Amino acid sequence: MKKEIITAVVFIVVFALTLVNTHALEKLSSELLDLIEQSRSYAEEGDWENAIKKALEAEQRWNKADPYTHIVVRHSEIDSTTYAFYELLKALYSEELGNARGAYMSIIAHLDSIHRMDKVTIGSIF
Amino acid sequence: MAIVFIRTVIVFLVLILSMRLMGKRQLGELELSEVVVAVLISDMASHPLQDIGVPLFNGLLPVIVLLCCEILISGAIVSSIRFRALVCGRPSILIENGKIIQSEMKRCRFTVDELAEDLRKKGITDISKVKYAILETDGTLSVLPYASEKPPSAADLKIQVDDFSIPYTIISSGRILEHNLRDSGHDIQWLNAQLSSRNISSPKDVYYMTVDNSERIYILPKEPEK
Repeated sequence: MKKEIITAVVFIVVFALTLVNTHALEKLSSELLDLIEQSRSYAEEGDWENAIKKALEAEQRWNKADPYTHIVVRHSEIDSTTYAFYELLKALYSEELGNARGAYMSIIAHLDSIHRMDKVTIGSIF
Repeated sequence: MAIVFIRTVIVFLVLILSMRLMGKRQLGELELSEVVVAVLISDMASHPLQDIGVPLFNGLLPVIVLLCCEILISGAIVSSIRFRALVCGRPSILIENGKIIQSEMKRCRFTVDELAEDLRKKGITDISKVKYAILETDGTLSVLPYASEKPPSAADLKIQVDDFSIPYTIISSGRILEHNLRDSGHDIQWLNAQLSSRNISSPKDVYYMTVDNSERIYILPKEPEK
């Protein structure tokens, strides 16, 4: 019986950790989305300097989370999100609003998918 | 990760259910939950090995979850008769008093050819000589012939026979297994005396040696190296 109790505890702890992970990913992506939204507002106003500053802040936050994301997120997703960050920075440095708008949409979609991918819903399970 | 966890539990339960519905004949000596775990683990663990783009945790997590499921289900099977019947099923009597129970054969999806094959494997060619044939929950067939058809035992024939005991392996490939030597009630002096009485100078020259409780010794010297 002791073995079964330990197993049940492990089972519950592992499930709890997976939920903590989902929450942590949600927090990370919402933090990043917040910074990207701020950057987009600056870019729409033509304030390229602040738009780049916020985008760089988001990119650094993303890179800082790399040891964690590499453990829990598919590496292909990490790579495509990192590329989306660089595409955004490229558009911002060249101060092209049209390109920047597309790059913002791309990075938002990537960050949103990382968060959505691990969110427990009927759709994601089945 | 939470999705991987929930999906693993769902797949485990669905496989248990589907294999349970498939019937005992699909199992073959393993318990149902063991078969399901064996089927799943081998495939799940291999994905992160083959694709380095998949985090290792994606492979390890289902294995941990399956292990937990298996232990919990086996624990429940041991402690609850009802749950055991639900998950493992009950043994099915396919032959009773020399007569095949056709309804039970149909329920187990067992053909007469398969039954005859299993009986032949047990040395029985005449169904009328079988008192009971029972399809066990692990998919094996137990066959109990009529008492008159069973080979007589030493007790039936009132013959005095020596009881056997499991021999202890004392030397294996030239190595003395000291724990077994002690358990057999002997010591190294006794071993050396046994070897020298057979003109063997060292235990290293022995490939295999056993001794049982009746002091019957088996010694196989090593073949000379070519």
